Amino acid sequence: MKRNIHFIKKIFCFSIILFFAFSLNIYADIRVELTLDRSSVLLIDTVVAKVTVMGKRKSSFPDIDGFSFFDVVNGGSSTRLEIINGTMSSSVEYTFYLTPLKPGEFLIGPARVRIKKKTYTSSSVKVTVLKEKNNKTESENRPLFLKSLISKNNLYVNQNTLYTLKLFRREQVSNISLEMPKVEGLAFEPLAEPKKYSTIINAKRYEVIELRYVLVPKKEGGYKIPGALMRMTSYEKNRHGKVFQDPFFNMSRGKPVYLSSNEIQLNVKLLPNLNRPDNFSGLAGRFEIKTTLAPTEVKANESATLTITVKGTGNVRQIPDLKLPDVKGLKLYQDKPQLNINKGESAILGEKIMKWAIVPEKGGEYKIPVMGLSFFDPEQERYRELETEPFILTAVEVFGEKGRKINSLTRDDDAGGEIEKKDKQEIARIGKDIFPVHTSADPIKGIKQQKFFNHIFIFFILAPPFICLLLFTGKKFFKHNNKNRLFIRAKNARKEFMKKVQTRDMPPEKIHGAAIDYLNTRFLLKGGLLTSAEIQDLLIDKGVSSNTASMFKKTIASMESIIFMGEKTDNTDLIRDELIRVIKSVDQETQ
Amino acid sequence: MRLFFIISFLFLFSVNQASPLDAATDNLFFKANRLYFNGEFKAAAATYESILKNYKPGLFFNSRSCGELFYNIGNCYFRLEKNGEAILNYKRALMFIPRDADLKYNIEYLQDMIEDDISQKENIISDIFGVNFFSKTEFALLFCLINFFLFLFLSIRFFLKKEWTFYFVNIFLIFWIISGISFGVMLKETIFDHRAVILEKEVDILAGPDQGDTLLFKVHEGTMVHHERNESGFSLIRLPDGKRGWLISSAIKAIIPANN
Repeated sequence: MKRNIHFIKKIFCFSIILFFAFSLNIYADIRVELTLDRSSVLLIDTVVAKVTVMGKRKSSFPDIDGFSFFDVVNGGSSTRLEIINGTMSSSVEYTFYLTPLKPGEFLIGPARVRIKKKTYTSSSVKVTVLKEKNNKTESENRPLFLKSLISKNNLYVNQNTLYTLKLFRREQVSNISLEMPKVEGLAFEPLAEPKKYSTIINAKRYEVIELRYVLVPKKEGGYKIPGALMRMTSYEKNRHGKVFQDPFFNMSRGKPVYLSSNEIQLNVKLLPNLNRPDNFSGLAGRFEIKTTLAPTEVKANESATLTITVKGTGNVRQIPDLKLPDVKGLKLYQDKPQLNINKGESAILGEKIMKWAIVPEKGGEYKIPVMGLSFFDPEQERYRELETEPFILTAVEVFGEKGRKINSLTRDDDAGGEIEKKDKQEIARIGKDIFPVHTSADPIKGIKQQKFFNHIFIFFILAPPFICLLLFTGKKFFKHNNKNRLFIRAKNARKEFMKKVQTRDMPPEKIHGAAIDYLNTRFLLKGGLLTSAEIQDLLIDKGVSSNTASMFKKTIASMESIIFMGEKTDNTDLIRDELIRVIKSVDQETQ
Repeated sequence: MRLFFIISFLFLFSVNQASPLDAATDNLFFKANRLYFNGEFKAAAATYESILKNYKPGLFFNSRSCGELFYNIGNCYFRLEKNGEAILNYKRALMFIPRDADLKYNIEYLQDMIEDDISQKENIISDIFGVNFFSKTEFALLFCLINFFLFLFLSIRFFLKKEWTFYFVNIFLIFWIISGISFGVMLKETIFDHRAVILEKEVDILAGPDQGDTLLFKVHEGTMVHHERNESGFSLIRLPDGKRGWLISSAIKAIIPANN
């Protein structure tokens, strides 16, 4: 207990000391410092500017002069509390990354912060921004650099060339963004996905990210293609091993980096006028043409399909739509041309498929005219001409329905006439006409059917309800007739008897009464009690066999002796079952 | 019942009897088909029409072949470039063979060729009761059949009070009511069908039954109108969009002729 009290006292004393230490801090000397990590930088470099407020852990965000010539990224703030040899100091540090926008000598600062309505000012610092030296070796020694290459510097208008951007890096980077150079008269078109590989430069391993573009000059002249700009966040290598090199694990904040690639000189010449074909449309590259006609023999008014495919590399988007000249006796319906573009490793490949449905109006042989296409081949530096194959379409005359006419369709009529895939083709309407007369009709049968059904329809409609009504009335009449009613009752006498004796262990009086009722109802008697002897006579008189009549008499007699003479019995159910069997026989014999 | 069978047999006997008229009709039909395929459309149409005269139009039963003949006549008029007459005959055929794919296609094809863009109002009641899907004959036969079974089961129930008879009677009663309403709607649509087709290339629609009356608008061949009444050689018509006016009676023909 004593020890605990001693410990609490110690903590209390330590807290008091701490309180006074912090209280003293209020009166500590507050200073603001502005520092740069270097005083001379290249245009593509990033300078780290730090504003340190010493003697305080909290301050307003610094206001710094001279940032207008830089692209500024806020690097965040950090606070520090140090106790060295019993002396306590605190500070707050603000970090900024400055990327110069132009070369020159610039004054940065002073930085101002406000603490409790008082402004503290730092000194200013000078920084010299130098234009990037075109020193290959120097740039290639950096941990990050960007390089642009072009496959050819002398081109013709519309000639495609490969423009490659390579990012060499020894540091981890993220958030990469790219700004391609914008030059009037030049068009860049990205090719396949970026490639990644490693290389060694000056005995140092670099990871390379390669981006490929097709550069198409649209106008002649000399071009100076400025460097592409790449912005990213870089993470300096630390000593914690490979796992912690990843930005995800890196505890230090990434540094924004701007990289610019080298300038490229390009000369673009006009296409030569010498030997320029009349049908030249500005196509430059390497192309080939393929023609098919299927089928080559059709019936008159049926269609064949002419397919022309132009494919190659170059400015494929400028492959012209070929025009098939009119041929007498042939109807031509052109489909919408289909352009397929495929971006390869180093060039854009393309093919244009043009299709025509050709319908011969009459039988005969038709020559499909040859179509030409010209392009400039920059490799051979000359114009080349391609021609479609000549085809003969044979149409066979078919004799059929006279007066038949085929009405031409417009593109709007022909829903979905466009060709979707190479292998499959949607069915395109060629003509439109009504369907022919029905020759399978049987007018004689029709006339007869009509006569027959019109005659008997009323009968079929009215007969069923009429017959039904007759049956209903007949039944009602039959039921209401007294004689019939008794007759029906007689028929149902056994059912009535069965209903009365359906429960077990019935008193013999009730079974006897039910049997007498049965006889009265069944044989339409006037009622009254019958003796067993009278019953036998009655049954024989009504045509029941003497054996059955005797059995009936015997059963009734045994019940009478129980009822009237007090004879005792264990089970009346046996008598009841016997009586049921006998009554069934009576019913059967008197049917 | 015996009487019913005797009557039925008598009718059946009369149906199967061959007569000289049958052979003549048969010949006429084949002749008309031949004329059509030879391109003699006018003669073919006249021949088909002469066969149709043998049909006595019935209120309830009309043979399918009657529809086929109207369809063939429509085709003949189409070839003769009389689109109004063609539409008229196709519409008549539609009453007998409403689900015929050829007929539907030809009507659609002709509708595209009609100059006037007038959309016909849809009759929801007719659609619900299947009036546009079944012919009058089919409705009549269906009703006859259900009528027969309903009263058959009702009669059985008079004598046999079993549970199944109750269900059968109720099921057929429901069908009897539905088919009866459908048949009634069909009869109403037929009896009060005042549709007519414009037969001339272009017809002036006037404000009154006189040539001197104000011209209201013009309609073209093949357009379907509702005929309201006749007056001194003029007919008052109404378009589906509500426009009304008078035209010369000879310029239109009713889908269901007045004598029917």
